[in-house]
Amino acid sequence: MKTNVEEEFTRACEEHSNALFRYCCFKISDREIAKDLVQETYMKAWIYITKGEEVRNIRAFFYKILSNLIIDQYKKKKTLSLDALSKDGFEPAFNEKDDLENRLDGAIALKMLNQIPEMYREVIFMRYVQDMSLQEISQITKEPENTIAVKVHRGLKKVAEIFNRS
Amino acid sequence: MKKNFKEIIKSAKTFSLTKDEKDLVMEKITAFIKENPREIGSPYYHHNIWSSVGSPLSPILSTLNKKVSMPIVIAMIILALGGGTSFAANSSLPGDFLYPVKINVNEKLASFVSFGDNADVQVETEQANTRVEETKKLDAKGTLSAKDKTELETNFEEHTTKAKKIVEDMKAKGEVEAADKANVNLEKVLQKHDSVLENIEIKDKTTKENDIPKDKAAEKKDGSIQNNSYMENNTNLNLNTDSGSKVDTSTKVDSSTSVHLGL
Repeated sequence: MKTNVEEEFTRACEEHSNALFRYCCFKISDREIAKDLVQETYMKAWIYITKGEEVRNIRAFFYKILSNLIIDQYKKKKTLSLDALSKDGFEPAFNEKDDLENRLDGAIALKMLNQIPEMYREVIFMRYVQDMSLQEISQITKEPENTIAVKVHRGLKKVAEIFNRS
Repeated sequence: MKKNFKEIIKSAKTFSLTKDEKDLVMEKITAFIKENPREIGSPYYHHNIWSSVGSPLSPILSTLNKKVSMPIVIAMIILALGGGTSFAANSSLPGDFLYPVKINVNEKLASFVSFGDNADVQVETEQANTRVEETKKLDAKGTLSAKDKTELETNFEEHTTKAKKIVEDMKAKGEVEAADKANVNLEKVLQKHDSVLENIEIKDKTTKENDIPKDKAAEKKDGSIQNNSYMENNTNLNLNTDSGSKVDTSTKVDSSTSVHLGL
């Protein structure tokens, strides 16, 4: 029989799976690895919870674990670019309910966001694609909220430059 | 431009797992949860201390409902820590009447009240250090029995293993700075432990040597003097050999060089 904690955890996994997967694909551009890493994130989080440790913000906690796993993955191997993946038959998935007209391809959108300088890329992605608060981004990146706010502000200026040009 | 960026964001948000992929991930995680059930029933629990406390208090504690509220826990801790027995037990050594209270109550309560990895690793390291100090004190008193030594070693191992595990967990969670700091403290205790054990061994060796009857000791002494003179001769020989080999080597190098050049 499932306890409340198990139910809550399963619900949280279900709720955040798409966002975590998206973040992972944005960082490593490999659908299969991204799926594995999301799964591993959940397992590590569960193990932590079984030890009786307290988790205040499950979303930030998931991202923290996933970020570490992504760093490990970077160390393991050089990841493929989205271009190479598209050539190999990489197809992004979409929510069925979304309006299909006038919609940019999800993968292309992720690729376009990769044009943002690395320094601002992640915070812009977290803030606008993942709809995270400055506080949550600060918890994950371990940078002060003020720094995050400055990065978002400067990042948006870069975004304006890049997408004006294109 | 703004519309462009908004469109990109909107589109990026649609990037997700397919239904099948999501179902598969959820299936796997549900199976994983089943295989690894949560041991602690209540979120108020930091450690499942009641099951591991081997003291006269345990039957009373185990009868308490698992959902013990924090004020009750704090009150119990104050009672336990405020007790003279508990305080007196802190300075007890293995073999003392109050030593089990120190190990099974005081230290386990200290672990229980520590919150977070940082505090946990500190408690484990301190308790490992206490075992080293106890070994040192018993040895100084000359009352360190083999049984006490084994028990202290086992307990020391338990605490250091736990501390190492917490450090690893901290690293996995990205708390690298805190993990490194904890690791430095743990290393200090490990070094202290090695040094105490080394001193005990040297002391044991010296005691055994002193126990040898005088005649045998004298024989041994003569033998060692002879050995020393033998060693001196040997050193000379070695020196000679070294110089000889040096000559040989240089000759070899020269000849090989000439051969090489010739080719």
